[in-house]
Amino acid sequence: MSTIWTLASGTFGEAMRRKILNVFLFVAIAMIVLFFAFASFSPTSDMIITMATGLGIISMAGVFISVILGINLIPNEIDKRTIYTILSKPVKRHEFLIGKFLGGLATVFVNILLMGVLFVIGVALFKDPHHHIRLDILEGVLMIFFQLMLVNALAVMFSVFTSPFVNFFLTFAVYIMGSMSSITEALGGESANGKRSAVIQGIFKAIHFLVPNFGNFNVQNPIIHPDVVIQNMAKYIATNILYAIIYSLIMLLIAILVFDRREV
Amino acid sequence: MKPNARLIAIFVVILLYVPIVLMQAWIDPRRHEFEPKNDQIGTIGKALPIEFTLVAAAGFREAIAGLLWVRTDKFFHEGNYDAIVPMVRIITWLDPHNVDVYQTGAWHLDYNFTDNEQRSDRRYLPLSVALLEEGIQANPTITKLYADLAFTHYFRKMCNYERAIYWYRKAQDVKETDSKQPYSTDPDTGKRDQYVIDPILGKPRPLADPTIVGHGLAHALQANGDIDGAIVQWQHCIDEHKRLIIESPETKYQDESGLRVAERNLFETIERKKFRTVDTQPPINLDFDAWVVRTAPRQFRFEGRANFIGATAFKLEGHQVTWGPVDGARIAYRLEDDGYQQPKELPFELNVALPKNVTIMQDSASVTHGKFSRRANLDQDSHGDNPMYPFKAERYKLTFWFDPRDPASSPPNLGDRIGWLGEGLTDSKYLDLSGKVPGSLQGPDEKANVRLIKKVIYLTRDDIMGTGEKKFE
Repeated sequence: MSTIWTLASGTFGEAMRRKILNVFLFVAIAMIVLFFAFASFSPTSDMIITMATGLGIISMAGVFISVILGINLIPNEIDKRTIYTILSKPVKRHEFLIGKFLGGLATVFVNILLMGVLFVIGVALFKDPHHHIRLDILEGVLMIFFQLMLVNALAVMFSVFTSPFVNFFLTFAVYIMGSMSSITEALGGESANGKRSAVIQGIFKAIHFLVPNFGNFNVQNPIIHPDVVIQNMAKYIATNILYAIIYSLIMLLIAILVFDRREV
Repeated sequence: MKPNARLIAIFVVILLYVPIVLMQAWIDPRRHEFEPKNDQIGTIGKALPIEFTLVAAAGFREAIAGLLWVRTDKFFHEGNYDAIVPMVRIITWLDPHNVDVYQTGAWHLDYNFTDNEQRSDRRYLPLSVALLEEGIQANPTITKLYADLAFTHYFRKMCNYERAIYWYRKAQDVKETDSKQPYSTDPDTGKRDQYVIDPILGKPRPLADPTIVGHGLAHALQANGDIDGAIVQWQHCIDEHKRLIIESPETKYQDESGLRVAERNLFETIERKKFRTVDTQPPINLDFDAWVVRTAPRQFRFEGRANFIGATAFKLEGHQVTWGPVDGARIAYRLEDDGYQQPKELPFELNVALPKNVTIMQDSASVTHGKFSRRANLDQDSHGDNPMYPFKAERYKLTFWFDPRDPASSPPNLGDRIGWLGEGLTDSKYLDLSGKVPGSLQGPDEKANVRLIKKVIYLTRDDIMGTGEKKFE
């Protein structure tokens, strides 16, 4: 366990030195622009668009951080040949992989948290007429984090058998497909005119259940419209967190299985 | 890794997919609480450019909906009404919890698609009702949607007071525990989900605003002839206002104003209940008649007479009040294709299936010194690709009517002579006890207990299109 912890903290420190925080700076500027850009709309529209766009920017920035970080975690070590030094010590391959993954995840967490806190403060200062701290925004940020955990695990899984270039497109392709949960779910069901074949339905049903559904984590709607009640919201969030953890575990297990047999 | 450990790991991967599939099956229906429904996905994809669809799918769905709504507002101010309906459809699909869109969209459909003389296009009414009912289904705790459906639509537009009462009561049934905001937020701590138990009621507080919902229900009960029910409701509103004045100092002035109105209305309703039983008898004969004069093709003068004589003297608020000879009644008239049945509900789809070949014109004229007359030039809205009055049918039905329950047609002073439901009026020719109000979205068995005055005239297409002045009666 201490080996994993050492590797994770090392990865975290290294990632933070890689100016990944520049993304955070970019997002911070984008948000400040956002707070003033929609001021000419009606107060309701202004708040809705600000909240929706703000959480969307955090999510998108987080995806970029996760993918760029995730695709380079293992290949960097191989390219720089530092992996030889690490694996020559009493470090097991799966410990190395898990340590790298957790280090990357910690980096994502810090970035997302910083963006989320900045957004909460910005909304209180510039948007809420009573300057209330909207802590429920962090509920959305939490779900974004678990979504990114899954993205990170996916990128790490691909990184053990593909180059960073291929991995970048592969991870993004799966992310886009998984973000369209509603579309894959609809195509997996019967069409209104009944013309969709059973084979097509089966394929989309399989995609819907087997590809990670990133769309599940989009819970910003009740945060944007706080007077609307979603039944069993806590249970819904808890189930999605469990979903992210189990799916990440699957990705890591596959990565371990592949990495175990890989020549480095 | 040992071969055995490897096999176990592969087995665990396969095994872990079982809870994933089960969880996804549980998540899917719940995700649609804040997402478009499955049968809407394909239509959204066709309606929106691909980049919008992608951006919406990438987590910016509400942002796209919000921006489209801002654009819709611009369409409205530019007078581009045709663009509004599909925009409202897409926005409410993308973001089913944007309450403002349901409210304003329904208002557009009801009031803002008008002819050149500012008569609204009645073909949109069932759509507007469908939109609000969908809004209520998606947002069952937002009582202002119920109130809009009750008052704006059933009370004002269709004079179907039974339905208005139904929706008001549904709004009153929404309780604090059904919702999280806004009343359950502690203003000091900002904590949510802390349901407030009403110290007086000893149970969760209703979410319905006593002015918007409470007063509206009292008016609807009164219009429906349930005067005792209205008195109980006014008293309920007074109690609610008094309670809120103590408990919610931040809205104290609003409730003080509401309290004054409720107290006055309660007093007047009790007083009127007393003297209307006496002053409305014997019924007056309105000696009603109505006719239409075609002045040019598709141009008309709707005319007639109605001998409304109100109570000239009665006691109100303890004082003797004398009214002048009563005028101010309004006679409604509706010209529509003969045999047209207004659908109770139209599906609110992307491409709205409006009955484009149907002609419906509805308006009203005020009665002054026992007569009414109002011109209508329908010719200016009978041409082009999608005219409001296409006049495609061969035969038309023109109905003139007076509804004693409608506050817009029967002001209180007139009601003091003819009664709540017309018990103080009669007519040798045109008294109608069917309870059917033209243009109301009534169910097949719905029938109001009201004494209407109604006259029907049938016109042919030639009568409408003909030249030269001609009277039809």
